Amino acid sequence: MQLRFLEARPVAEDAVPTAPAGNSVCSAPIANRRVATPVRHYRIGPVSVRLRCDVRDALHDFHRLYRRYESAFPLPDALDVRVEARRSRRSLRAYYYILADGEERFSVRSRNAVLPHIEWAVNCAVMDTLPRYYQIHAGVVARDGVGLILPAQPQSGKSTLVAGLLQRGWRYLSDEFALIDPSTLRLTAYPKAICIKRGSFHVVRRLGLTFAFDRDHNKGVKGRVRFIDPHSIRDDVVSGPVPVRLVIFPKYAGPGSPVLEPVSRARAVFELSRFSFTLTRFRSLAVDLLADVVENASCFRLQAADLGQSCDLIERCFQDAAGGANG
Amino acid sequence: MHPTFDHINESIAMPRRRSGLNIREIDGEAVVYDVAHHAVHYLNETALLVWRRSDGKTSLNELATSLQDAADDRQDKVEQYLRAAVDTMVEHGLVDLVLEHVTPCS
Repeated sequence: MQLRFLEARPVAEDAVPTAPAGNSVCSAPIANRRVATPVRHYRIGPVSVRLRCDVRDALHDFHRLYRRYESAFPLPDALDVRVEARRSRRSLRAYYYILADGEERFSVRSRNAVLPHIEWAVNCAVMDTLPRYYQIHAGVVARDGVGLILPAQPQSGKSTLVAGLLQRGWRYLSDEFALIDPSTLRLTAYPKAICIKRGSFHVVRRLGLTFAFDRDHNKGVKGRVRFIDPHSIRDDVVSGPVPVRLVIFPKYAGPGSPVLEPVSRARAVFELSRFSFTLTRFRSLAVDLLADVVENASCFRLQAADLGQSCDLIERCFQDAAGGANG
Repeated sequence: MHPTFDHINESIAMPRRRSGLNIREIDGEAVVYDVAHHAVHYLNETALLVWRRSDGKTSLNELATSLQDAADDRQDKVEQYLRAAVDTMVEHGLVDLVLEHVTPCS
């Protein structure tokens, strides 16, 4: 029998990853561990996490990103994330298993892949741990008390755009999740660390932003990544709840000038539904909720290019939308 | 398989909105949620016009005439659009095509 190991292989891009059926994993805990696995508690926006991690440097890195959100006490309804170091009985190689609420989400071979996969496991579990929020795959920032949603496919440049806008004074809600409270239609911050992929490292450096670590992390199929602690940009960077005033669907189109074109609100609702994590949970209420969300919003599609020019265009658009709303 | 324009006589086909669909109109366009299939569809202004008149009693020819009045466009273009719109809506399960039973004259 061939021994197969998952190497950070989600079921679908940005869907909830689980081990495929029939996967054969045969492993044993790494022997002679003399120290009990440390446990830490965090409350990152509405997301509570209890983290038990056998890999000390990954725990240290996670804590460095989220130390502001640490809780001295266990939190109710916390997502239980556990990282177990086990050795394959057959090859004797060490593997690191990332479990969320007891379910194996990933197994990785290198230690520097553990941190991004802890993050990924938490993100995958957000859908189940926050059922009251309508959730869209989007970057979210705010200015002057109103929010901008950037819904997009993975690799569209959401996080890079978010970083660029934060550097210009915008406030942060998330680079991955638009969490909409159905009772208020306001966006709630889930201020996770901003995850930048390799292709944008130089762009972020050019902005003058600093990465949290001076080394890359390995995010499996997503490649090399680096993290930005949003609080390193400004202490008060995280926004409170805000209504949606602008929806922009970005797609990185390569070098050149960015192009922004208006999208009707109905079209925007349709597109938002495509990027929704919770469409089937909210069922027909989803369309009404999204229609209410965009009721006072301007909606656009952005062919993103040069980051500075793309941010200029977004800011002009935001001023027009704010002017229109005030007028 | 649903009958489409290619399979039927246009003069006796009458599109009818299917049940189990929730529609939300926004600025003259619409978004439709298909409860059974968890699918969301977008209708632009003209498609919404066709949808509204898909009552199972109006034939495609009558629909084309009323659409032409509203669209103020060339007849052949309107018919072409109507054909595409109804075919797409049938394909996505938004409308059925009801065939009128014609009694032959003796």
